[in-house]
Amino acid sequence: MTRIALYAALSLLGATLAPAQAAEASRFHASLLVGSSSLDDLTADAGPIDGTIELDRDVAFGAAIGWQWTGPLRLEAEFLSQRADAEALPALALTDLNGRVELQTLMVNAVAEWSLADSAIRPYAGLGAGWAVVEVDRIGNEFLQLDGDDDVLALQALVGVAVPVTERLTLTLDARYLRTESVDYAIGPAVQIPADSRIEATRIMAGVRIGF
Amino acid sequence: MADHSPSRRNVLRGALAAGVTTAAAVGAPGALARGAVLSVSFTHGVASGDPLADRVILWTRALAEGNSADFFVYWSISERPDMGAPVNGGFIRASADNDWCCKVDALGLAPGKTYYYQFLHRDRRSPVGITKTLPVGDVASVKLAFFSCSNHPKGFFNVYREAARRDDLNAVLHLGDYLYEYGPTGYPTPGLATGRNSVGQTVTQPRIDELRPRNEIVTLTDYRLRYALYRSDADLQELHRKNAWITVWDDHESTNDSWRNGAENHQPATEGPWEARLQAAARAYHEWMPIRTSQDGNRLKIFRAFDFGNLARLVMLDTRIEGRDEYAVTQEQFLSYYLTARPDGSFPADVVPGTTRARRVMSAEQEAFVQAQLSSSTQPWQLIGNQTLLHFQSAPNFADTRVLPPAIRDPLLAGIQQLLGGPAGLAQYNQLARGGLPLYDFVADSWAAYPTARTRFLATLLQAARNPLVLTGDSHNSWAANLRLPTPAGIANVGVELATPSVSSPGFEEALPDLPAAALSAVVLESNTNPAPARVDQLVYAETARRGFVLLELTRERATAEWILVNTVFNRDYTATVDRTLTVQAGARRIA
Repeated sequence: MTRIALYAALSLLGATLAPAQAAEASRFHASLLVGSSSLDDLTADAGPIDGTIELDRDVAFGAAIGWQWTGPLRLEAEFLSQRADAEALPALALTDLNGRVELQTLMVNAVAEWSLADSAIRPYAGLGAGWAVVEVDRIGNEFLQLDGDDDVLALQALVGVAVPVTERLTLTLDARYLRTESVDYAIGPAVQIPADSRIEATRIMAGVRIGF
Repeated sequence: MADHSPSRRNVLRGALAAGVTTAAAVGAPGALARGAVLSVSFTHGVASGDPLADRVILWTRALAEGNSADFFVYWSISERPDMGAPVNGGFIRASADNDWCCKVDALGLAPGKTYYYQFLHRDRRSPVGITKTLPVGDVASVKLAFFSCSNHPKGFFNVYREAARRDDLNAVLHLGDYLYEYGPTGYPTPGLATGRNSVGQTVTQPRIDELRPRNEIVTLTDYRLRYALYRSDADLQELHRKNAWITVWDDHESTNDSWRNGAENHQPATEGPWEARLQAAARAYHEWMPIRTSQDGNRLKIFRAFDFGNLARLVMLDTRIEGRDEYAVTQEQFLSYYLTARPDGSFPADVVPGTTRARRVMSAEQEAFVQAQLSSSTQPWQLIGNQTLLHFQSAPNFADTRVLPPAIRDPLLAGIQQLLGGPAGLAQYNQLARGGLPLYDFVADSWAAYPTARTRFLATLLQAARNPLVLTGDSHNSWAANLRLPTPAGIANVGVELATPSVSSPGFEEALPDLPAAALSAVVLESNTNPAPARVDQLVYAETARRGFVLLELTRERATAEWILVNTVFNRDYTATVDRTLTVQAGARRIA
């Protein structure tokens, strides 16, 4: 239900902005984003365990819709999705783990983008807040399993550069750091030990922005 | 544990939905309150036991400082000493309900392998334990060490330390009296009273001040405290850490000379109902020992069997609690069993008082189990883990001995006369010894005190087992005997009893401090070598002055037993020697 609600919210946001986009084409844009994302180790420090699950680097992708608000400032609604496979829990000498963390975020970003004199490159920086849906999906092996999903608040900071290609088409490249509130899951399987961990993602994202 | 705050979270979600999210809400200190981080210690080492081909019981005790709530411990088992690539693991609940003892049956193991295991709680890790699963299929050899009668106040566990130096054992057997129930004054011996024993040592109780609790243990709390005392011993911990143990209780895990409905050392008037005490003792035993509790949860049912591939089957008996009728409470009652024996080998006086039912050592259920295990064993060796002595041992006949010169014999007789209260006492004793009858005080709770059950058990061994080796504890002294049984065709060799001395409980050297140990052993051997009407067993080896254990190696061709004895338990410096090595050839049913 949570994920459906997230998609619905995204669709609703898009639908709400669509008339404005039609009315003020030059002030709206849409972006497609793809990049590499690294999730920090998942903390497993509940009950008897004081360790971290090492996660691999994986692809993040998504889309954003933006509104040029005032001056260099624009607002963006952004959806990104990614997953990261579990690799090891060194504290218990566990390797070759199964399972993954899946992270989907719906963020509202405030981004300032500036023009530089004598340069086509436009640096930008922003802050965002939003909603993260996190699934800790059966990480472990046959005798240890971390499992659960939660939806929590998230914060994001980003900094990057934009390079206009045409009047409406801009390429972007940015670095983002996202951090969520603690996510609840359980350590099992024989018993269910409540656990929680913040999710921290560091992303390098490339994008194509189309203005309207 | 995490404090999940649904109300707060819902408020935040509502705020997000309303578009009034604030950055300050994320990552605020204490956003999800966490439970206190426990400071856990594995206070009593690790242990493993009851190995099978695919599983083994793992044990530890985890105490969290200042904590009375349950918590979890993680366990892991690996083929590697560094605990890498574990093959199983999981969580165990540490709880006051189990005296913070954590036990798990580690499944999914491979047969005949050495495994390493460890418990952890956050950054606290237990020692890495070593255990072995039982082999299957062709097995060339098996090496076991067996023990009994470890008394903490009476001496240091040098015997455990000596055994813990070995790395070649398949398993350790403990045949009971793992601990003693007495308070500080509860185990007096003549040697303690005189301050010396028969081998010239000064007798002390070197750890009597450490005894906890200070009273005779009766309640569950008492038993737990006593186990905690014993398991604080570093030598015992190390032997547990390095080997899988297979254990049974004898009487002192409950109290002295216990049987199914009571004990010599239990007074219901002052110590409450026997059943309550027995249940407390059994509960503590299952909490603290690496034993696999019966699937039906019956803690009093501990007889069970283990296969060492195609080489040996081990049947662990409970001859003390499960089915034992009351022991003969007087010498007269005891002697009446033998004095009224019929030529057909029956013992009409050996009945439960007031009934015609023959007294039992094991229940009918256990006897049927043993019969089935022995008769279905295709291995060349059948090992019986047994508590009290099975072989019949008559009182040593000092009056007629030929192995002692008069210069030694006569002072001995004078001492015995003084011990027995005068010439009449000595005359009665000599009559007993010349008749080949046993000494009540020595065998009152042994198999010989239950002649009907004993004869039936020997017949089972003769008929159902191919090469029975009876491994026995309880007596504190070292014995080896050929077990024999009269049959219509003559006297049959049944098998061999190998009896381990105690770990630290005093033997004859302290019970009879004025009787030179070598003389006692010599006369006991002499008196039990030639058959007499009431007994046909042949004593082959007797050592009555030193503590130790028996190392048993089995091959398809032979069984070799070594009595490894230490020279003292009164201080930590000791020397260990192999006192005797005996061999039983497969098929011989007697010592070579």
